[in-house]
This record gives sequence, structure tokens and C-alpha cells, in this order.
Amino acid sequence: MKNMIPFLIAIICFILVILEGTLSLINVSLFADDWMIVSHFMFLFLIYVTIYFEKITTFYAIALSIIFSLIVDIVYTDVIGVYVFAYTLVLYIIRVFMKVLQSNFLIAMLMTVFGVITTDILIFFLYNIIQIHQLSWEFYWHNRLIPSGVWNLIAGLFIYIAFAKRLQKWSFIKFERSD
Amino acid sequence: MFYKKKRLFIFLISLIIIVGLIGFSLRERSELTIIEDFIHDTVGWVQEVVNQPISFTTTFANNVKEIRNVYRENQKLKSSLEEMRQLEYENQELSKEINELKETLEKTDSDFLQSFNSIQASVIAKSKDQWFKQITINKGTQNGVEPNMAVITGKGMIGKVQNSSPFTSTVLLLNGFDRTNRISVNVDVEDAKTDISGFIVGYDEESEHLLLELNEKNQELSKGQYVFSSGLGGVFPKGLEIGEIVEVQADRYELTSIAHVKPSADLEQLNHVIVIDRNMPTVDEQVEEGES
Repeated sequence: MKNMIPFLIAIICFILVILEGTLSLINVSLFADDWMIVSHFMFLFLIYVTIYFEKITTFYAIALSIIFSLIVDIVYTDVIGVYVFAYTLVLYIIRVFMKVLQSNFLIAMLMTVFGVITTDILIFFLYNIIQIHQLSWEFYWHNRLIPSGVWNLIAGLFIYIAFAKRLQKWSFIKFERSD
Repeated sequence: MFYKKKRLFIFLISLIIIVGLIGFSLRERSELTIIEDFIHDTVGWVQEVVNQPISFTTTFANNVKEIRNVYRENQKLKSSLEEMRQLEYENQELSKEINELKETLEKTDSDFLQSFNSIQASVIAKSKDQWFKQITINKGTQNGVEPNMAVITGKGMIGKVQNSSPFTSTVLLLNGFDRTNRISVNVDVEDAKTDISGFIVGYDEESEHLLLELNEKNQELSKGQYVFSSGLGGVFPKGLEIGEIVEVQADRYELTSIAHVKPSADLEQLNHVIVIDRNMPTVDEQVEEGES
């Protein structure tokens, strides 16, 4: 059981990566036409892994982020490296924050909002530099940043409800229980 | 002190690796590495499984919605059925005649730009980042899908195969086209002997229309005309429907006209697509044969 937990987390990440692609296939006609909604489910999950599972000496979230954002890059985009950079850097920043902050619901939501907004802006600038898109900043925050932020906050709430307690339990089993 | 330095060192090295990776993937390349092929296929396989129940639910919901319109559509269809019979008869006669003429000319199928083989495929995922206009389909090189093949739905062309792994392929949609992958097209003009020829040069994000640039100025271009692929670009077969002209403008220097073309196919809602394998050798294949 003890050694299985990292693999369990990895499998959840993999499924979330696949759900990101499947959900974008469904045409959501509820929203305005030119809204771009991008899901970052795997990243949200890894934020909660950083908050509730990680110990100071372990680097599970960072390692998983490198592996699975590489998969995101290869499967969903043409350019390898942008998501790896954005996700991993922001997770590292959150990790540094969590050294001084307590892990509770409010902090988790605050980190979700911070994480999603920072990664998305980072991705916007990186793709702008390598000429994937030529959108203006106004168009971007109006049509992508806010809708994606709200969407990911809702998704984050669901992932939190489903996994926060479990991650704490797994952390206890993995690091503290002696069996 | 040493610990701080080590951390900085790791950070710098990973930055260099990432810049290297971005540079590597940005250059023009037609073949994917083995690792990418492997990841595409593994993820694609799981995506196909996950997609089954979800697509079942969405099609079911759509079917329920459509049942309401069935009666009205049925009446309309019955009336057009009569015309269809007439057309079918004409079609049969014409194809018979064409076959006879082909035989007398001693030409095979692959001598005609129109002829192609089709490969049926299902869409299993869409790029999660909406700046990449890509979808993933469940057929790959094992089924005969190669990069640069045209992809259509029943309504018209939707894009081309960007790269293919053994069991899955990525399709670049029409709204992601730019100047590096232009399509050579013909505009169908009624009562004229020759069609107007031109290129689809890109996509206008604001109006959501394709931009058609003509080879020479032509006054006959007008709203409502249909645009087809001409097959002269060397990749796609002739006669794939692309869209309908909705607006004609003069270009910046008043030398040619630019037309806005509305794609016939719905690029948002895609479930089943057809990959088109042109029978006549494409330009790339000819170059390869020349080299070997």
C-alpha cells in the first residue's frame, strides 16, 4: 500500500489529462461564442498534492508535473516545453508558499486562483513570444483569462471535495504510519 | 550556501533544456520521434475508451432534440426525393459514359485528380489549449493515414492531417491554416467555361471566415458562389467542397480581390470524419521517388 500511493496519484493525473481533451471536444454552447475555456485539471490536482500530501523533503508533485505536462505538450500542442515550464514553475512557487502557510480550505482555494491565473498568463506570454497567437492583452484577459479562471475554480472545488481528505490520509499512510 | 548554489544550478540547467525543447519542436518537421509516437498512441487508446460513454450521452441528447423536428423534415425530404430519382438516373448515365471514355483513352483511376480512397475515422479528442486548432482521430499510419492528407466530413473539408503516429493522427483544422499551408482552390461560376482559381491563404479570427486570394482580378466573383479544392496544390484531390463566399473585398493594393469564405463544415462539432487519400501521386511522393 505504502509504495502504491505515488502510482495511484500518477494514474489520477493521467485520467485528468485525458478528461481535459475529452471535455474540450464537447461543444459548450451555454457560453458566449468567442470565449476560450481551457481546463487545467491535472495542474489543479497537483496543487492539492503539494498542499496536502507533500513533505518538505519530497518532490512528488514537481516530478509528476514534469512527466504529465510533457504528455500535455506532446498530445495537445505542437510546441514541447511551454506547459512543462509553466506548470512546474508555478507548482514550485506554491511549494515555497506552503512552507509558511497552513493547509486549509481557504488557502487551497487562494492557491488555486493564484496558480491558474499565473500559469495561464505565463502560457499567454510564452506562446506570444514564439508567435503561436497574436492576440492583444485586452482580448486575452476578457475572453480567456476570466472564463478559464472561473471554470477552473469550479473544477478545482470538485477536485478538492473529492481528493483533499484522501490526500491527507495517503500522506499519513505514506510518511508517518509505520507498518 | 552550497545548497542555494545547487538549486540555482538545477534551475538554470532546466531552463536551458526547456528552451532547447521548444526550439526543437518549433522547427519544420514532418516525422515525429518514437517517444512522441508512443505517447500519442497510448493516450489516444485511453481517450478512445473514455470517449465512448461521453459521446454516447451527447449523441443521445442530440437525438432527443432532433425528434421534435422529424415531422417537418420528413415532409421536406419527401418532396426532394422525387428530384433525387431524376438526378440519380442522370448520374448513372453520366458515370457509365465517363467509364467508357476512360477505357477508350486507356487511363487508369490514378490519372484523374478527382479520384481518391477514403478512410473512415472518429474524433477522440480536441486540443485542450484553444490556440491550437487540432483534433485527434483514431486512425494512423497502420490504416494508411499519412501527413498532409485532406480530412472532410459529409458537409465539406475540415482540415488536413498534421502528423500521424501508428494508431492515431493529429488533424489541423481549417481555422488553424496560415500562409505556410495554403490550399489551391477553384470558385465555381455558373454559366462560365473556366472556373476562377485562387488560394486559401488564411483564417480571419474576428469574422471566422477563410480568406481567399485570387490569382488575378476577376469581376465575376460574387456572394453565394461555392469554393472547391482544385487539386493543383499537389496534395489534395480535386473537388472537395470548402465553403461559400460571403463577402468580396479589394486587397490592399487593389491588384486582386480577397473573398471571405464561410466553411461549409461545422468546425466546432465533429464526431466522424473521412480522411482522403489521393490516388494520383502527391508532390512529396514524386520527390521521394526521384531521390530513390
